[in-house]
Amino acid sequence: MSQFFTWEAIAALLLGGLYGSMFGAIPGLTATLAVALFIPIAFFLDPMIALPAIIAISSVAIYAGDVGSTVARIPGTPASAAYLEELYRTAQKKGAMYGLGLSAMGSAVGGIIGTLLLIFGATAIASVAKQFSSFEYFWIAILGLAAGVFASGGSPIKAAASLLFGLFLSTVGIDPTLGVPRFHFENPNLLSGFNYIVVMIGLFGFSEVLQHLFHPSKKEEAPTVSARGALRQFYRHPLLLILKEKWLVFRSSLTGILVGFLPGAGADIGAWVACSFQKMQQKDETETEEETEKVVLAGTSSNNAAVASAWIPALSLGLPGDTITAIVLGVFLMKGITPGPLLFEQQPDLLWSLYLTFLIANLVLLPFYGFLTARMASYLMKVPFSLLLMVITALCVVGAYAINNNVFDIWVMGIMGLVAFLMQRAGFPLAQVVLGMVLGPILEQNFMVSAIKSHWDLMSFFERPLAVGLMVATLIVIGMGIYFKTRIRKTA
Amino acid sequence: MSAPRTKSTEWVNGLLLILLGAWIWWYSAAFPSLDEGYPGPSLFPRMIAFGFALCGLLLVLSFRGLPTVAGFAVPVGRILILAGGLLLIMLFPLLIDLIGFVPGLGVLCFGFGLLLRVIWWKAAITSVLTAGIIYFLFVIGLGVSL
Repeated sequence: MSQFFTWEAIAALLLGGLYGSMFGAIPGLTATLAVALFIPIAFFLDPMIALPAIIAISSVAIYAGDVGSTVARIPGTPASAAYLEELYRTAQKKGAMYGLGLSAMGSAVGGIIGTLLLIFGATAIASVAKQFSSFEYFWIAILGLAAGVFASGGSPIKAAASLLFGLFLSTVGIDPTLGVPRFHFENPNLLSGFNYIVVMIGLFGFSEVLQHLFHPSKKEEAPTVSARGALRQFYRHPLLLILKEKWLVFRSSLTGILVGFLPGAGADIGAWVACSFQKMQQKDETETEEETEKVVLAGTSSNNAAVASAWIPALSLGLPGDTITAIVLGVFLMKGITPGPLLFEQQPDLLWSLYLTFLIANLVLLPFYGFLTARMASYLMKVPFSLLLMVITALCVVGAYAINNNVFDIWVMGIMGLVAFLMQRAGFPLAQVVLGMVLGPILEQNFMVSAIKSHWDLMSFFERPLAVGLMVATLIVIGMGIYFKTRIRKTA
Repeated sequence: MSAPRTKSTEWVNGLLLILLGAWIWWYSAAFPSLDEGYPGPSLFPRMIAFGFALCGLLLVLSFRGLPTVAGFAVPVGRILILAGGLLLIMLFPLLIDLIGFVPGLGVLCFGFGLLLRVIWWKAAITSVLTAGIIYFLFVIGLGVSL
């Protein structure tokens, strides 16, 4: 734990929070993009410095996405789009500081609840995972794929296609069974497969630049944020509402935790689900002022709870809960750290510093940077976006190149950016591609090991009690996914 | 950000997925099997290929009827700007050989600035500053050789 209280770690936490708050507040720049652009720097830092910085960035950037919604009705991140109208209406009636205070305080409380569950949940799952063999890991990968199909929020067919694309990318290079090179087209750079981080930078970073090259966004005039009674509006009034609506906040945080836990879902889906549940409980079609604020609270508390809970499967099983934890898994691999049950035995210091970072990020950074971002809201909205895109392009190129000092990776990044651009335009989700890339090697390796171990007796996949339990969990996820998709379609 | 989806675009998406699946299936046929005759390195790619074909088929079937070819304008100007951006990235390695990574990054940044319709002197200042900050952050601060 003492390693955490070094000046480098504390500086990384503070700077990470500042970077996340500024980045998330600018419309069009997401928390995932903020983390993806930080990777080239994280690659050269000690994990005890890099990981707390990533947590601070993601926790604060998700909140900062609400700045655009509050001030100019432009969602800063996909998570804030779930309650955009409600937050904007609240800000119009009671002031932008109150709206942002509601968002920051709701996020902080949700984040703390999520962190507490992360501490207990990850440890519990890791202790069960100690008994896992290749059969269970195969079923874990299948469970992750099933969750990824239904957790996308859009068409399950397209989510499945995105997952398959990620799985396909993971097959490029030497195969794990016979060591045969696959899909390398006689190119030696492809023998070791695609670098996971380079693909991520292309998918989430460069694709954003291409989107804006193709479709330049128009800058809207941002109104100024009144400073009168700012502290009271930001802290006191929202906290009183949270105390009054404590069960709503708790319930929404739990919803966020459950959704965030599912591989490929994350904060965006968490916020949408919690807001939908809250809206379903409204008696009348016309929202009252109180109901509007409840929807905002539900969304903000669930999204930060989901940010924390996405780390549960990542730490205990090596499965990413969202795109940010997928990037973190890449950082783990680059640093030679293997996530899973062994991490809990071998690196407890690292884990406790992560938990502590989450608590500090939600207890201190979010309220502090939240207020700072709220005060600077009108300035942040005026940042020239085209200049930012130039900087993002440069960071994408450096990020892709610096990892292996290989120009081939710059081309891979560019091509992945184009693929992501086309996929987004055709309505295919991107998070599922990353999930497929992470799950591909786990799925194939554990299937082949299990099959060879059992002399291709496929019934052995259904013999171990834990494996059967995971198979039942997969069936439940599929069943619930079909049920909810059908219900949503009927409501629509 | 995504374009409005019509029956025609979903048909194209579905057909592309089927074609991708067919290509993966055909390509993985060359991979060897295990000694006992069990599937080896080709098994996983073939399952993916089957999945792609199935998704493509479902996508085509979910939009019943034949695609309609409505008249629409191809945004040639935008496509050219996009192609320009991609060309800059593809040619960047050549630029590194000519003038080095950090100066090349400045030039790349400037090129993107022009494509993004930033006024040339603003683009030039931003490019120089970006290249400078990256140099100090990575080369001086983190000791990375660029």
